[in-house]
Amino acid sequence: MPNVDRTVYPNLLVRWNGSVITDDIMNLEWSNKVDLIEKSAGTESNKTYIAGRSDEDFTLDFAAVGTAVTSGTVNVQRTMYAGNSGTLEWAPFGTAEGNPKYSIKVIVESVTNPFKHYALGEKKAKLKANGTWITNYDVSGSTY
Amino acid sequence: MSYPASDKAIYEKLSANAQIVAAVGTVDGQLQIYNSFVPVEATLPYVYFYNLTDIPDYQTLREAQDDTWTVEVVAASAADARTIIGYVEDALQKQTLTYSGWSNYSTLIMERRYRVEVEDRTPYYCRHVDVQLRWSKSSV
Repeated sequence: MPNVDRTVYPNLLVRWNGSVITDDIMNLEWSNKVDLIEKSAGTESNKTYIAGRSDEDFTLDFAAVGTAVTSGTVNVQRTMYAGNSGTLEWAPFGTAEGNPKYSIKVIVESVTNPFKHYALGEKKAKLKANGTWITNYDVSGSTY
Repeated sequence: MSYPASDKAIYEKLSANAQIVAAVGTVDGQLQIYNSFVPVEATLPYVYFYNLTDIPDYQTLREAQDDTWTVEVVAASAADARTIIGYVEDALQKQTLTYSGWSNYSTLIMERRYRVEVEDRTPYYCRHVDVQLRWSKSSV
């Protein structure tokens, strides 16, 4: 049985428009996808594809905070609204030198703001990539 | 590593309530609001409280904790127990407790219970509430 490392992300760091917002993030989910363009033809029995334009979707879940907030949290609470644009940066393993770096311009597609009497406030933002990658460890090996 | 001292916060709130203080009085100079341990000299009625669970919340990097404490009134009559637990609820339910470095964002009574214990043919009327205190750290 090969020795396979698992991981959790205690050192995750996320920046929104340059400000660190990690303190109150509950979940960041990144969906990386492309349009598939079918290129099968003739007598081929199975479909084949080429990769079209890529698309990135993000879900950012964060805890709503009260009126006394830190500057980073003000940034995400106030500027995360539908139609607004920004730069999202994330470091899954922290920003120590050599760690993977990802950043991209995004547009906010939607934000769900539930208000419950006695449950922790949890906001959910859906973001879409809005242009090419600024840094991407998987594609170009970008690190801190 | 720091964590909120919910017992200190609870004691502060209960001892600031004039109706509770008047009802329980003092014994040997000590206010009869006991933290986790009731001395043998205690007289009825008294209030005591103890920890059920303190659960760290890892949903965010900001430290957070959900503490549940039981606050119990022991009295010589059912009426007294009911009256005094009412004062306890007034002191804690939906209030904001304080502890340096932490923000108490929710304080709710999650359960109420009533029982009568008999010892040496003497009934003790006990009413208790389970109070959930939710804390988040003021800075990461």
